[in-house]
Amino acid sequence: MSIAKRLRGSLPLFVMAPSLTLIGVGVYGFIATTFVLSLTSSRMFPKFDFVGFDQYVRLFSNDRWHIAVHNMVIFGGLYMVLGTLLGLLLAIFIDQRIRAEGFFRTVYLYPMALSFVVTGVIWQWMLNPSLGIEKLLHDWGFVEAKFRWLVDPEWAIYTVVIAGVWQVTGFVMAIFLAGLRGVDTEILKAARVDGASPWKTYTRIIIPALRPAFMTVLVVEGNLAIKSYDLVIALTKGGPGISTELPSTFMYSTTFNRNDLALGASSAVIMLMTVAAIVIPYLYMELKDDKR
Amino acid sequence: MGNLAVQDLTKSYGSVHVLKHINLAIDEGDFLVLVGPSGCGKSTLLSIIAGLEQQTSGSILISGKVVDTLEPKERDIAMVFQSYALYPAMTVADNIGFALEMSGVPKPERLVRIQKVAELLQIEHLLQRKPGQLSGGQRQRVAMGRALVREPKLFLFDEPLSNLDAKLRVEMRTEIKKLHTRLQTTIVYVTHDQIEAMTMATRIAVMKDGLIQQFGTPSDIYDRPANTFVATFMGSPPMNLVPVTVEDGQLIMASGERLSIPVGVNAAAITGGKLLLGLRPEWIALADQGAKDSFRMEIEVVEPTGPDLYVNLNFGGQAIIARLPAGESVKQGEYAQFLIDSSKTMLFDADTGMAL
Amino acid sequence: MTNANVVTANLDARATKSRQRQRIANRVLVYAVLVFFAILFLAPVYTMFLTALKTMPEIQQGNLFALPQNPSFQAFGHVWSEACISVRCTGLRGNVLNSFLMVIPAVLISVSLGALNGYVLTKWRFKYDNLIFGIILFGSFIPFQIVLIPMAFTLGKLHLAGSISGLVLVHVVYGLAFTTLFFRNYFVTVPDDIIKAAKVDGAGFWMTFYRILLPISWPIIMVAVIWQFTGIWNDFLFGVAFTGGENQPLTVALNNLVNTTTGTKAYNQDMAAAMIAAIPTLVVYVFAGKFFVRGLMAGSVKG
Repeated sequence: MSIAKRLRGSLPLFVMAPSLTLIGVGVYGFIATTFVLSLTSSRMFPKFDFVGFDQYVRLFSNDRWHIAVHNMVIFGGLYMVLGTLLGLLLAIFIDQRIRAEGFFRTVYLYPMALSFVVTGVIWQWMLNPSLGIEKLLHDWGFVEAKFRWLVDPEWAIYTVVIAGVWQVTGFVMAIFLAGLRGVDTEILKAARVDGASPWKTYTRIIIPALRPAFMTVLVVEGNLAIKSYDLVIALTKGGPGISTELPSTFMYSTTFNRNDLALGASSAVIMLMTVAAIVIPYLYMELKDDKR
Repeated sequence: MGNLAVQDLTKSYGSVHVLKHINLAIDEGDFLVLVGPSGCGKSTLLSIIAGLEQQTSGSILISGKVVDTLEPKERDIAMVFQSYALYPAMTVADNIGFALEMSGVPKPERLVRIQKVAELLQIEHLLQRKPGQLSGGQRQRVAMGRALVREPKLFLFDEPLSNLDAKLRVEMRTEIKKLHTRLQTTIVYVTHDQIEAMTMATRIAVMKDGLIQQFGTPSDIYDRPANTFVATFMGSPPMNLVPVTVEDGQLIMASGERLSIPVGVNAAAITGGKLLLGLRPEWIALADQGAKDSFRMEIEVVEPTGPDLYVNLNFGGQAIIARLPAGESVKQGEYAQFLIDSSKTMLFDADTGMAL
Repeated sequence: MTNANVVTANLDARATKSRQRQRIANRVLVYAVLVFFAILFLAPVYTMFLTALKTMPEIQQGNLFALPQNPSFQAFGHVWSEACISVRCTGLRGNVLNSFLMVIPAVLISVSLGALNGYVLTKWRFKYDNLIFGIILFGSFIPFQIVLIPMAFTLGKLHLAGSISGLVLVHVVYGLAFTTLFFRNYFVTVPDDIIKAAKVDGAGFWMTFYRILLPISWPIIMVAVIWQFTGIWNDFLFGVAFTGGENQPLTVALNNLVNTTTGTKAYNQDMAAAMIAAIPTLVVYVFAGKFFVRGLMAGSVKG
């Protein structure tokens, strides 16, 4: 092969080189670095004295981290379940050949365009105990009504769920709607000819056909839940006290406010591993399907 | 215009051999059709001729010049794709002129040549449209225009008619043939449709499993197929193959019927063994009682096609099909006497499938 | 007509009528649910807007959904140019500019690189291209906490710490996975024959991209731009981690402003600030959202 031809042959890789370098360093290199740091006793600055898995032992005996994980389970679980169910419900209702479909779709989807900080600030206002929803209920005549979740350590985490679900539902709906529109209409006709009721048609034919959409939705939601940081900071700042601490807020404050770099790194590694446990099987399946 | 030679060409993907020692040569002005079932390697061969894929070994010569290391654009070829592959964002005129633009032909000359081709193909009124606004037949014409405008040495067609409906396909077939006659271009045309091959080609290469089964003129291929695969692949309904053996200078069927050895086959050269007698459906005709090489057969099904009758016959336990002119009086379920024309029939070795 | 026929005809009519009633009831239910949720989804932004137009005394007297008696943009003016964010009292204007200075280059670079990656991955296939795609794609799923520490030190080494350029770099790196994914999935649907035809016609790598692919890529360019614009504009984590003081993007400044409370919380100012932060992405969404949904449905979301 001539040199010119060989150069031409490697042009594609050449074009991708900047991206691959950025991702190689910024994603994989940094993951490795963070992992290495989590094995040291670094405090304010990186220090490469290996102490094995000591930081992980410290992490899992840290009460704050326990609260963060506990909150993650509550928040993540409710966020995924409620987001998925509401999104699916809205998608099915929108798919009933309604008028003004575009309007409803736009309304449900717009929260996705907002920053989590904006969402947090708005809901902080709506949920504030003196002038927010509680006051509204009083004005409407429910004088006894109490709605103080935002300042109640027991309940504050559920305000994060509310705001989070409000924001994600439209996106979930859009994915399900795309899935519903992709269901083969001949199958639906066949089901009608076979005498299936609408309910049966949904539970037996359409929803099972949405399996790939469910996969996408759950992976996206799980991923968003674990990453959630801005929403909590803007809505509750992790409080009252540390009652709405999440792994993401734990990592940030441990690393940057408490100067406990290695402990922060170890919490980040645990977060990554949780995400990887969800995402890698999903990616593997998606890419395997894609092979042509 | 130019000629084309393919010399001892092979193509492998790892241990999968897609093309095995292909040799072909056609003259300037020839219309070569590569025909075969899907997966036979015909499209790969075309891609290698175009320079879109690299052969594993062997050479391609266009106009006597080895082009193995040349890029597609340097080979002086043009190609029409099965999906037409029109550039969606460009107008028809820009589509046709793109290759000229790429080779640096100045705009005024480009416009003249686009116009000329558009007139030739009767698509002048479409020049400012986008491909999305065209019908299937119109797209097909634009795709051809894109090839014609370059006036290359060699035209390559990759199943260009397979996305058209039946009626349009026949029309375009005729049109391509007319263009070829008129422009005397050298064409390599890939198809899986044996009728396209028969109607358009001056040379046919029948391919299967990466091998050329037979290379010749349409009448060679049809009348004297080299093996049973070619015999049954070309022609519809396909050639009947009746198992026979040889005895006392005659063919004998399992049921005992005796037939003459085909004219042109050296009876002495046949050394026993299992044979297949090849009978094209039109080589069977109604006959008088007692005529030579005529047999009584049961008429099982009669399928009128309009001009012809396809008659399914039971010939000594073998199912065969005859093609008779419409109007012959044959009735389903009855028996009649049929003549087998031994001046045309062929013999194949049942084990190797090769013609004798 | 016989008696029996009359009876069955009546029964049929009654059945038809009840089926019709059933259908109307179903429609009412469908619209009731949809409208209920529409109100639920609109209420927060509605109250944000109303509150931003009220004065503090009015907020204290009325409730979330009460209409303002004397709508005023005074709160907007205050947060735009006077409000105190931490210790600086120059309002949000500087931060709005910061956000634009960050988002525009970051979107342009990440979308361009993503388009090229998608082109190479689908139309110039090479060994291990699927593996490389997987490696890139994984980057879109990592929790960013895992890269915060090394990135902070790296930006320091590059003398980009605390700067907007640093933030642009960060957003390009972590946006690439998404933009590559979008373009790759879109270009996969473009027939390979078109690329071959361009090759035969004499177009090279760049010409094919520029003249053949790019002009038909508008749907996915819209998706990638909208996605990146909203994602980067709305980012908080990188902004708070890697910038400080004057260089903070709007989201970080908003959060600081809301938390810089002296005396009673000025909810009208909070809401006005939130609106300023929300408007650019809302505008993009309202005017271009349908392209986004259409593009997403066209191929970037499987299933």
